[in-house]
Amino acid sequence: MNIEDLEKEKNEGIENLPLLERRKFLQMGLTVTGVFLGGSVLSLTSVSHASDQNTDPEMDIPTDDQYPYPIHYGMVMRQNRCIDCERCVEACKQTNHVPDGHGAYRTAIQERLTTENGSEKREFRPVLCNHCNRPPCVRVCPTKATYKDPETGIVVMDYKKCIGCKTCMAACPYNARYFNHEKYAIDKCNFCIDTRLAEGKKETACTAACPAKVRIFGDLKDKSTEIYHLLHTPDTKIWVLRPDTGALPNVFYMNA
Amino acid sequence: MIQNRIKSVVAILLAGSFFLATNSIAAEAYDEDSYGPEAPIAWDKPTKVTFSHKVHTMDSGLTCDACHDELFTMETGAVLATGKMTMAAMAEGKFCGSCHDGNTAFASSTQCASCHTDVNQLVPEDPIVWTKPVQAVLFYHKAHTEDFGLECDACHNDTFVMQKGAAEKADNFTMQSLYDGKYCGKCHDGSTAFASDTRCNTCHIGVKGYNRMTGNEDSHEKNHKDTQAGH
Amino acid sequence: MTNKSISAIFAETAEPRLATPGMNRATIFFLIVTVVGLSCGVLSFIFGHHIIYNNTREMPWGMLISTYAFWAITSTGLCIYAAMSHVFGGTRMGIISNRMVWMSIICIMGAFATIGVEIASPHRMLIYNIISPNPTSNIWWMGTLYGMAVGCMIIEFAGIVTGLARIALILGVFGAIAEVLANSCLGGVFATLPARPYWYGAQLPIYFLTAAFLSGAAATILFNVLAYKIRGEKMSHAVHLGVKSAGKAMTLVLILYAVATFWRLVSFYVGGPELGRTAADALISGPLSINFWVIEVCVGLLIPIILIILSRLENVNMMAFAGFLVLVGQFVARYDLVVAGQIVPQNLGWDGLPPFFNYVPSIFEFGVIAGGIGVVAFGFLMGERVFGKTFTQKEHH
Repeated sequence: MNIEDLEKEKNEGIENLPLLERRKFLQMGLTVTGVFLGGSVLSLTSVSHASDQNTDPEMDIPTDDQYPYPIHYGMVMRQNRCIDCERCVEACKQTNHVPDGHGAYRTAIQERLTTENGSEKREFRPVLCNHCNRPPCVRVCPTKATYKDPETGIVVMDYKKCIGCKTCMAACPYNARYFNHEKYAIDKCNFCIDTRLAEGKKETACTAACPAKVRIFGDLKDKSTEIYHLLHTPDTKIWVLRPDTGALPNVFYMNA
Repeated sequence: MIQNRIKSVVAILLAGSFFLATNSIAAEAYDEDSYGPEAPIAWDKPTKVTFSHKVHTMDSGLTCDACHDELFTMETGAVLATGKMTMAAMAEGKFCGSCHDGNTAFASSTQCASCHTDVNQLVPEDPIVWTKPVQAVLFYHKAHTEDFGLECDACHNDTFVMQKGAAEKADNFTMQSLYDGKYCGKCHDGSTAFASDTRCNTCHIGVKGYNRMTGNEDSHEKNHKDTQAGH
Repeated sequence: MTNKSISAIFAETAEPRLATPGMNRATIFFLIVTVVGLSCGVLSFIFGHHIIYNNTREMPWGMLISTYAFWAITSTGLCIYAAMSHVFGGTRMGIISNRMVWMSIICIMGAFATIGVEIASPHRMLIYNIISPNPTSNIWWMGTLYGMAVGCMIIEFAGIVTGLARIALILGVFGAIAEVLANSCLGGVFATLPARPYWYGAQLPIYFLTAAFLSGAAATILFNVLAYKIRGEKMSHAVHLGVKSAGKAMTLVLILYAVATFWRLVSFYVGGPELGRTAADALISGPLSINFWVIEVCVGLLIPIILIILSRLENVNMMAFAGFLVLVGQFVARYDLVVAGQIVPQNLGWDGLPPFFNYVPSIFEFGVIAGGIGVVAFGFLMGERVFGKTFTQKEHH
């Protein structure tokens, strides 16, 4: 069942859970699965999984040290706000010197046209590297040319080590990697770690450029961040792309 | 063409005289000699337009020589046949525009429906496409006039000046202005019409939609095509 | 025995009967094919891999990867059969095992030549595979193990040539173990990618090993029959028995492989991710369907089984032709496997993408494939010329 169908499903009743249980459950969603948070968890994971909460709820409350990274960067996409103006794409290209052609881009907007009640329906979906907790690209790289930054959890490249076997491209569930023919190495989104975060900026180029505030970037751990707030708002439907691959992505989608 | 036009005018005049004969007795007597033909003059082409002598003479107190023959020759269909009676000419103060200048009478660029009886004939078939401040936003006149029955002056010229690209030139043609009740936000406030901060992609077609409309493939799709071709 | 000079060794191993003008012409021809073919690959280092090859962001792997897999798998098969013969000396294939060791080395050279021009920066590989190894990477293990295997086999072969039977035996076993593990990791490269449902799953490494047994047997038959063809003489009874054993093995594995292929495809239609099903559609009814039904199934499986039955394992020419067809089928099967895994857009349903990307290898990719074939053919002829007596010595004992 895909996410669109799931979205149409009636929520299986998170509102019936006591608030404390719900909070535990939501927190569990973040750290244990790294995938689902918010009110749609019950409808997105199996019911038996959900009932596991009652067997030993204390076990499921994460503590701060259960987050794998000191700063755990992630992004929320408020998908229905995206208008495909592609300022993000342009800003990324300029900021990160993404070359022209040969499939080079770090972020893109995907479009889906459907017909609903006789009229055309448009959807736009921003995509970029999901900086997964269990990144397939990092596992397959023979030379550790791509790795999780130990401070931030960002999946970064060490270009000089890249042999160009392209296994990471084949392994990525999100088509997030491209051959940078100028660097002669595989390249990808790195949440502007070198071009903006290193300079003390708090947002990625795409986030800063978005006029519709589609992209919310921040530290998933930090309770003061907007991303934390968005992901922990009860009864919010949150989904990730291709959860079936088990990559535990850190880019979350919602309509808000 | 002209013959047809004359025929239709004659037909309407005939119909009008029946109307006169049966209904006008109760009201103030209408004197066609001093007020002109009582039945409105109606054209079908190029768009449906009516002109009522009564409104201008009996109601407003104009005399015949206010218009005849300096502005309009007193002959059915004659002025129209010259092809010079256009909205542009009126804007320059010719024909109706000599009074309908916004001072003496309402400007010719306003209150379209006062004379144009079928507003749907006036609105552009093609959508308006704004590319600033973001690519790209579509507006269909027909959806608003036909489906929702709006008249031109619902938006023109208070909310939007009836001139191509005028809104785009303004610095405040932004979503914030819409939320403040300006531009589309005048109606799209959540009560009259869906709120401006919902259903974004009803109007926003994006770079992809714009390029598809204009026949340019955007770079991303081009990349896809490239990759499919293999390079 | 250990004090023999190099020239004395070659004097004993060389096959003077093959020093004919025809052989020379054939050898030079395949040398030219090798040089010209691999030059196509060298162009990628000059003009850019992204220009020379038709690989894309969406389909990063193409015919060069599949051909690498084909030669590597064939090498594994040859090595396993040879090692089994060496270890369990009694098997009838023992008599032809020296040739199989040589051809296993040659096939892996063909594989290395192909992937060497596919990888964008092989010089970085030489450094960082050693100083920055990633133990979770199948590619790292595969490369390392194939490297070890080829090292073991070269020493093994040196042992065979110089008569150091004990060294040859031990290194042969190590080489075979390394080859099996490397082959398994090659399967694992594809099998451990959940992003590609057509590859993902526990079956694939076993499937690759089955393919190795199949290709290895087919290559054993083909190269042995060819070895006698170029000598213009009839196969001895003992060698014939060895080829017959390879024929039996090939028949058995053909059935296993057909069964594995059948269930592999069925599995995509009973559930699981849509991407896997659509990829299977590419083979069953989509852009790879002619490849699949005509070449993989008919040419690569059905006709060889019929030919083997008709040959009654006696007609070696017919068996050799069956072996050739199996290799053709396997070559295309690897291509279909690699392409089908990537041919369905991962974001199908968005951006108006078609269900299948269109990948056609570039002329240069075909050139590199020819170069790889050149390497193997040249290596085969050179082996017969330089080590011909080593390959046949056991016959005369």
